[in-house]
Amino acid sequence: MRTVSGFALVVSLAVAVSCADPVHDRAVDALGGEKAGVRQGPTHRPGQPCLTCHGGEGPGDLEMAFGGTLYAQQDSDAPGAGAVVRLLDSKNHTYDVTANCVGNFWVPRGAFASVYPVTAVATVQGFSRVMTTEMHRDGSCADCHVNPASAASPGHLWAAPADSDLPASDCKGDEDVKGVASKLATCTMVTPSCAAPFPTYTKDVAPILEANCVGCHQAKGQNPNPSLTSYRLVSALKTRVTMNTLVAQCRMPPPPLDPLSDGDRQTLACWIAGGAKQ
Amino acid sequence: MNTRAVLALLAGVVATLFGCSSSYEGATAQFTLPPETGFDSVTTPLVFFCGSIDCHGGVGRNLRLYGMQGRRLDPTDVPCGAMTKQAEIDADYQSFVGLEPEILAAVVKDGGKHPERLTVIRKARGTEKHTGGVVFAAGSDGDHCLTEWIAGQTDQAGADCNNAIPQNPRPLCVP
Repeated sequence: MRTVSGFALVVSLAVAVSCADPVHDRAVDALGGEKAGVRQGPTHRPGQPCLTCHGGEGPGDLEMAFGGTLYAQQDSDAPGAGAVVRLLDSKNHTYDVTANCVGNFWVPRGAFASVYPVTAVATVQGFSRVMTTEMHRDGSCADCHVNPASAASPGHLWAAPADSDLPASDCKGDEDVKGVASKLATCTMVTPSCAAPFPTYTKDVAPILEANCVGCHQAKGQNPNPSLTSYRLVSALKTRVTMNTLVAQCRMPPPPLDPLSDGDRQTLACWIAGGAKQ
Repeated sequence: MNTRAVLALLAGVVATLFGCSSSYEGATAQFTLPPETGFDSVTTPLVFFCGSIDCHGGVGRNLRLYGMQGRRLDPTDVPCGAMTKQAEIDADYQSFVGLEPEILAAVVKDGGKHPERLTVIRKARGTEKHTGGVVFAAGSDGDHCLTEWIAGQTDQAGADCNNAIPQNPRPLCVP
């Protein structure tokens, strides 16, 4: 029996090792850790190649087709907050996305049925800058666009001339603005103390999701995967596990949005604990 | 150490030396390849359509291209900076002819007939799996640009290479 168990362990380890992609793992490791005071979310890691983690191989939950960081000016680290980035594909399809307060912008996979080559125009405060070459396969802007400019990079993405007077962004990290830090400080893990009758999807869970989550998590939303628009989708095991982790830890809704109240998080936790009844 | 071990060590050293000593140009010099004449015309659409930094301007590609719209050879140049330089055209030529020199030589020997024997032509036409899809469809100006140059028809190739670059509305680096 012991021999069989040992063999099974060796086989499991061999399978696990053979499935890993060391190139991808090294690329993720090379990004380093999170900046102090900034949690995973829409404002983390500006200037890094988004699709390294969000390209489908993980570890990012959200899968992106395009993602990058727009800066205000060529030689400035000030974010191009509020800029509109318009992507234009070879079939003349367009998709507009707005850079957030650190300049990050992204297009979830599936939201823009683009056909390469794709190019882009960034517009902020009346200034526009057109991408003068094309993307042919890589939607991760920072794979090609990093400062300083070099033989392999035209420099980071920027939108306005050096002498333009753009308003400063009020955002340096997602926990330092708009009172988010204080909100998160009070976010504690909900320890379910659940008893029958357990919450149901229709009566208890759907209203919470409608009010806080479905705005983004729907087919035409910013993050359609997972979609949280029906009992079938929400009760899928992966969605339940993800929701239980991300919501319980106040990572969803993402800062600077308010986390769910303790009561709502308790309801979701008890719904799952009670068998996720419809 | 016995005799067999010494011989094995010696064989390893000799093999290593041989493995490291062949030069790139030496490897292609034995084949009759298209001369570089006229390749400056070919480089323009090749770099424009294929040489972006996320494609054949990338360091992982067998066909690695340098030029104005992509990766630069001179470390002091930047993409969309100075015009494509002769050293970049030379490097692109070496990369192109070094892909399948035996087959390329055979196509040249046949006066350019059946260029689809070359992987680069099949990939450009999209008849072989290519992440970039169909770049130069068979019979297009871009396709003629490549195949005519291979056939030694450099004047015709120059005209077709020039026509292969659309003017508007696609963007193009302006120095």
